[in-house]
Amino acid sequence: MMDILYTRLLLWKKKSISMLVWLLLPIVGTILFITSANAIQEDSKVPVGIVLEEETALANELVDSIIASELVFLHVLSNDRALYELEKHELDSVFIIHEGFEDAVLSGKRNNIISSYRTELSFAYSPIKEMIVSLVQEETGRAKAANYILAMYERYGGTDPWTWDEITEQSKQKQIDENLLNTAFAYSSGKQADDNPSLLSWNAWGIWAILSLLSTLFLSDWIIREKNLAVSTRYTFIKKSLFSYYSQVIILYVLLIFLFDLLAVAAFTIFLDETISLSFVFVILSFRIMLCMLSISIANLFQRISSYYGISIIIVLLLAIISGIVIPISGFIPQHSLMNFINPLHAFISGNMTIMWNEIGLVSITLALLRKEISNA
Amino acid sequence: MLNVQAITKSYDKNEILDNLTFTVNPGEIIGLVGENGAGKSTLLRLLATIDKPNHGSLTLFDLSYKKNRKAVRKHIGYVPQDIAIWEELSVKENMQFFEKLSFQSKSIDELKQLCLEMNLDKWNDPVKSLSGGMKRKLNIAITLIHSPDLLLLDEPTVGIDLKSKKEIGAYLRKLAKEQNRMIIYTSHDMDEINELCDRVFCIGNDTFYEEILRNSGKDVILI
Ligand SMILES: Nc1ncnc2c1ncn2[C@@H]1O[C@H](COP(=O)(O)OP(=O)(O)OP(=O)(O)O)[C@@H](O)[C@H]1O
Ligand SMILES: [Mg+2]
Repeated sequence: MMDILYTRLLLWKKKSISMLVWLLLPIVGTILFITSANAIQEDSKVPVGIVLEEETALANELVDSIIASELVFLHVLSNDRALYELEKHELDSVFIIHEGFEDAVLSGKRNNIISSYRTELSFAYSPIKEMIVSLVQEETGRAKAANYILAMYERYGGTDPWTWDEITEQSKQKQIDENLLNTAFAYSSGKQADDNPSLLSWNAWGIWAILSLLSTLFLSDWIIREKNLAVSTRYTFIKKSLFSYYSQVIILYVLLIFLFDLLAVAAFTIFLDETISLSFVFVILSFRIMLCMLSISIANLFQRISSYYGISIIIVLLLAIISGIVIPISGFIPQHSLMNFINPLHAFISGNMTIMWNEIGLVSITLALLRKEISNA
Repeated sequence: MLNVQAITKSYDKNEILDNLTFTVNPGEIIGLVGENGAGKSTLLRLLATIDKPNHGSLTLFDLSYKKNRKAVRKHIGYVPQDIAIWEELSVKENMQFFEKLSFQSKSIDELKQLCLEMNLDKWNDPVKSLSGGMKRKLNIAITLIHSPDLLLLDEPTVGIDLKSKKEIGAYLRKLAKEQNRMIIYTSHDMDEINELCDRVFCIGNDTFYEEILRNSGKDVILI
């Protein structure tokens, strides 16, 4: 093995730049893609102004929940400033929370606690108004119920009554529990909730999987190059059998690329805030072995490098589309279980060990090497 | 000793080699001549275990090509007609690359010495920058790393200047005479053949080359 490593290092050294480009492409490409996608998402958020005439807990809670909805880019401003920017069309619309907002909500009043401004160009006004109204409604409803219960306690003189806070807390908890139930249900029926934060984190590894497929295919072109070189006639006169020579070279390639996979884990942890469990490292390893085996098996079928590159690109595009990583196709094309079954990327993208395609890859590479060995015997 | 018994080789229905029989003794240099397409390269490939004859048998030091292919290969050095070296590596790295895979290990000094014996002194230059003649020398040097007893060279000196030709020729003669190696090589240069070889095989019963070489008093055999 050390001998083979030595000979490979001699060759790798000479094309270190192009190899580094391909080895780093999945890492750099994914980070660039994800960060720029996030930036675009930030940019495309509608700018909305909010003016707080009072700084009460309830007013702040309203602001927080608008921000958390991720629909709008919220600016908290003074009244004058907000109206000025609205006139300049720098803000889509402006909402003003009046003095006495909290008191009004807690006492169950719902009129004239918020006023809003918009221009003829506002297009986010209606959905945001709906959102605020429903938030306020939620709060007033909860306040009403709490007040009602407290009043009941007072009337019937219960001992150790619940406080107002306890009641609203309880009702919020109930609401969260029900929401969770909703999300879990939606998830299992195949539609991913848009505000599911884990969707974003799977995307990073999904993009990485596609770029990895591309780079592994291009890194595997050595098998065609060497086949066409006169040098390969010398392999008849070496101390190793062709089978053991090539399988060791392939193992070295797997190890080299896997090293960069681990680098990807580190880079994504630092730059994309991904947290990765130890078992996921094995998922990556199984995926890596599969990518290398399939790429080399495919490359081995070709005599001309240019046609291999062409086919590689087609394979990458095809799998990118049916995996629904770049374009979420689940809305357009029903996710056939057959399609997932034949998609070599599917297991990895859903976070599982690649097993079936790994075995197919190993068998096909073994057959290809045995054929080489027999024709040389 | 190399023993070739009634070998026949055809591609599809096209018979290239028809019932060839000959022996080569240690220390002998054999020239292989014949027109283009006569089958010189084909014969060398059979002798090098790269291809198999349709009929007939081959033995090297009583090792059968059929039964002891692996063992036979350790004794064989084959210099293909196409230059078989890594263009992107230097002379040194090429030697190191094939030494690591070779049946025999050699020190870096021994490898360097091997190149110097053929006047290949551009040790650290990338092969890309070498002249055609230099590449041919390296092509031979790599084949000699495992000290083969039977050296098969397919037009090793094509496109080489006279001085380099003489250097390579002198080195091959030294290998044969001092180390008892068997050498079979092909060339279209009759002067070179005349000067270097002990015997000449004319492949394809070709009398054209036979007449030329016989006039200069060579031992010429039609095969
Ligand atoms: N793999 C092959 N398949 C079919 N025909 C082949 C194959 N290899 C060689 N031939 C044919 O065998 C014949 C002999 O070829 P070979 O290369 O041995 O000739 P040669 O004497 O070395 O010629 P040259 O002087 O041009 O090198 C040619 O007609 C060639 O077309
Ligand atoms: Mg030839």
